Amino acid sequence: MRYFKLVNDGYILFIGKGNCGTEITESEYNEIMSVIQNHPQETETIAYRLKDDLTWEPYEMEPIPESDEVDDSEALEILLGGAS
Amino acid sequence: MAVDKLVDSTQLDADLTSVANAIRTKGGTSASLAFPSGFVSAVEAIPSGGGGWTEITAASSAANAMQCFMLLFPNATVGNMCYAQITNKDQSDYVNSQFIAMLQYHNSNSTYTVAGIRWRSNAYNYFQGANTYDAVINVGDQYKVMEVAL
Repeated sequence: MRYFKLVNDGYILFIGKGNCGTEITESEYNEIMSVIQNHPQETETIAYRLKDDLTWEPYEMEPIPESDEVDDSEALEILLGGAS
Repeated sequence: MAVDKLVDSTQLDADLTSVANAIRTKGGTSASLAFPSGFVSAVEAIPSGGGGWTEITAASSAANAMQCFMLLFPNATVGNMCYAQITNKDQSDYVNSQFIAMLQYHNSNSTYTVAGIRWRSNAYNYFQGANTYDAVINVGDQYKVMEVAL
C-alpha cells in the first residue's frame, strides 16, 4: 500500500492511499491522521488548514454563493402556485 | 544448493536495478525494493487499467472542492473526467449526493480549467459553470476519487 500526502503552498490538503501526491511512510500517515482526527472545531466562517509542520492555522473562508437561483419565469410560476 | 551457472554479479545487480527503477517509476515511488518480496509487493501495488479509487482524507478546509481535487491529478489527460465519491456519511450538506463528477482540461500553459461540476442526487442534477464555488471540504472529510478516461 502506498501512502501519500498532497501539500500545496506549505499546507497539507489531503493524505491518502493511492498513486498521488508525495509518498510518505505508513507511520507518518498515521501520525497526520491522528492530528486530523483531533482538529479544532470549525465554524461557518472560520476554517482550519494543516501546515506541513502539523500545526493548525485558522483562516476566514468565503461563503458558498447560493446556487439554487431560478429565472424570472420560474419565479413567476412559483408565485402563482404553478410550480414547487 | 547446486551451483550450475556462473553469474556476473555486477551485471546481475545492474539488471535488477533497471527492473527496480522501472517498477519505481511506474508505481510512483522512490522506496528501495528488496528482492524478491519488495519487487512483488511493488508490482502488486500498481493499479491496473489506469483507474481505481484513491482514498483521501482532507487535512485542510477549502471552499473550492474542484480545485483541490484537480491537484490530485497533475498529469490528468486532457478532457478526462474526474470523479469523487463522498464516503463520509456525516456530511449533512451532501446527504443526498452520491457523486461529484468534475470535467477539466489543461490549458496550453498547463494550468487547470474546471469546466463544471455535476451533482447527482435525489434532489439535484445540475451542472455548475466554471469558477463557481461548488462545495466546502471540511477537515476530516473522506472521499474516494478517480480519474476516468472518456
